[in-house]
Amino acid sequence: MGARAFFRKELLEIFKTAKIYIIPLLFLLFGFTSPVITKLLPDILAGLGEMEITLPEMSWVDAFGQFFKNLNQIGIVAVVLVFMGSVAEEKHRGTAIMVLSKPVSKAAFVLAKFGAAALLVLFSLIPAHLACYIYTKVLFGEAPLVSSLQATLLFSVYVLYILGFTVGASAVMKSKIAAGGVSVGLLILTLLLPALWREPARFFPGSLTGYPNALLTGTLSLPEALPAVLSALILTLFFLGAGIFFFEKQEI
Amino acid sequence: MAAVEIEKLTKKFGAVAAVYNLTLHVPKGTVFGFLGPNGAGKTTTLRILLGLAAPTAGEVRILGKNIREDRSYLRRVGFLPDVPVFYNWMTAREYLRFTGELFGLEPAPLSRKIEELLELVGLQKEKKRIGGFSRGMKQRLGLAQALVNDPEIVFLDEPTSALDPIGRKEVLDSINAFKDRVTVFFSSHILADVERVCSRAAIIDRVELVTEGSIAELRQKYGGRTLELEVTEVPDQLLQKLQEAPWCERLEVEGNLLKLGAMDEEKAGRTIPPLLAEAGVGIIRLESREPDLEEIFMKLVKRNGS
Repeated sequence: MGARAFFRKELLEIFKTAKIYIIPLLFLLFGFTSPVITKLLPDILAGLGEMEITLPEMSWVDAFGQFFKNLNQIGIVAVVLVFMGSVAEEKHRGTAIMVLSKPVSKAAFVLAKFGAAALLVLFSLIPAHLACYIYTKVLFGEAPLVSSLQATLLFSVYVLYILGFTVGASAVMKSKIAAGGVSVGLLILTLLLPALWREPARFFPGSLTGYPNALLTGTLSLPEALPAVLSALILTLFFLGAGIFFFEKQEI
Repeated sequence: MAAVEIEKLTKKFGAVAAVYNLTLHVPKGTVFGFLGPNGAGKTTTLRILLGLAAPTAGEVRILGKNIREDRSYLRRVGFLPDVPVFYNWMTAREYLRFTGELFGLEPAPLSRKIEELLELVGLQKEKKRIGGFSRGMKQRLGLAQALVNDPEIVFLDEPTSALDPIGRKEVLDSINAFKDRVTVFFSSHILADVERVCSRAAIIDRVELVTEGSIAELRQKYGGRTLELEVTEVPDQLLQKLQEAPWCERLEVEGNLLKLGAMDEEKAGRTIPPLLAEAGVGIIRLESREPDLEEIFMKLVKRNGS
């Protein structure tokens, strides 16, 4: 109940607040700058001092590698920071009481937030990928469209998973700082698990952070990414479900 | 059928009771004042009525629906919390459209309803974002959003508490404008406001119900009469004699004006003139009137040990 109205409100909020600028512009910035920095890196290092650093010749693989590295580090942190207060802040400020005293469900309230956030983040990836692709093609003369799209698709699944636990934690916690703390904890756990437990690593969502590069260099095929993709999607649903479950039990 | 039926409602947070054994029936079509000092349990009661908190014990039926079993009553009620918080980036129209959509209202009738409500609360010309609204404007917008679904009952939690006199008057005028077509549950600790808009009232103190009835019944039951006696001077000797009089249950002094709660008006009328003569005090005015709600409230709350 109320899902459509909530979703429309979330989209309206994105367009009428700074949210419409932060994620799209940041991702776009990575799309533009990653190929340029990769291309100029040898010259930058040469200009730094007398010490001679020999770098292997940079290629389109390094440009895309830089792009996904930026997304995985700064991009993901930005996603957590922007959406950690999505539900918790409404509970804390008191806007949630105004709407949840109406004939609506808390599940619709949470899912609308996740849906709108996912839409914003996924749509932000399109121009960012396009910018990275065009600049790489221009600067390096080569850029594979299909495999780079597949790599972006894998990152999309990973970012959905991040959004899943960020929005889920926000639904459970009473302040956005607490929700942010839980989200950062889950993010660290996500990144550590594949490194600590190598045997089943291909089933962990954290493996998705390295998959875009592996796909571009040809050391991974798309079907090989399937276990991590499926576990990420299942865990996304799990975190959202758990968030809604605990939110339903909370008194506002 | 009463609009709101509360039976033995208790809400505890750990060992501490926020509401205890509250039984209350609010008849349809009334403007019902829910009075109590801060911390008496008014907001907790309202949160339970709106399904925002679960009761520890007891039963609540709103419009005949048991609120624990059937949430459909929420379609037929409106609610204004004590401090309404809005999305500051929205305009008043956008917020009312959003709340109307939450009730599943169709676009065309909703647009008409929005204009009607904005006119009712005097915000029809406001185009700016809610973030730029004064507290009074937000409270009036809160009233409008509580009415967007044409509710049968509207719950108002301290709608005037945080407002200056002008804001209070505007909100009370708005309530007076719609109170004939809806049951109003008006929670407040401002007695003058309850007296101004309510036809019935319940008084709670220290999480328990103290009394309930129409304003006239409460006056009759608890009021006695209030005598206002204006005199030329107020010597201590006179005050002492008046306080000791068996008919005097209350004495307030405001300059040369004495307010006396008289349990037996006739006896008081016979005793006062000789007391004044004995003290050598001249009389300017002696007037007998019904007690106001504040006087009843103070009397009941004191009796309850506050």
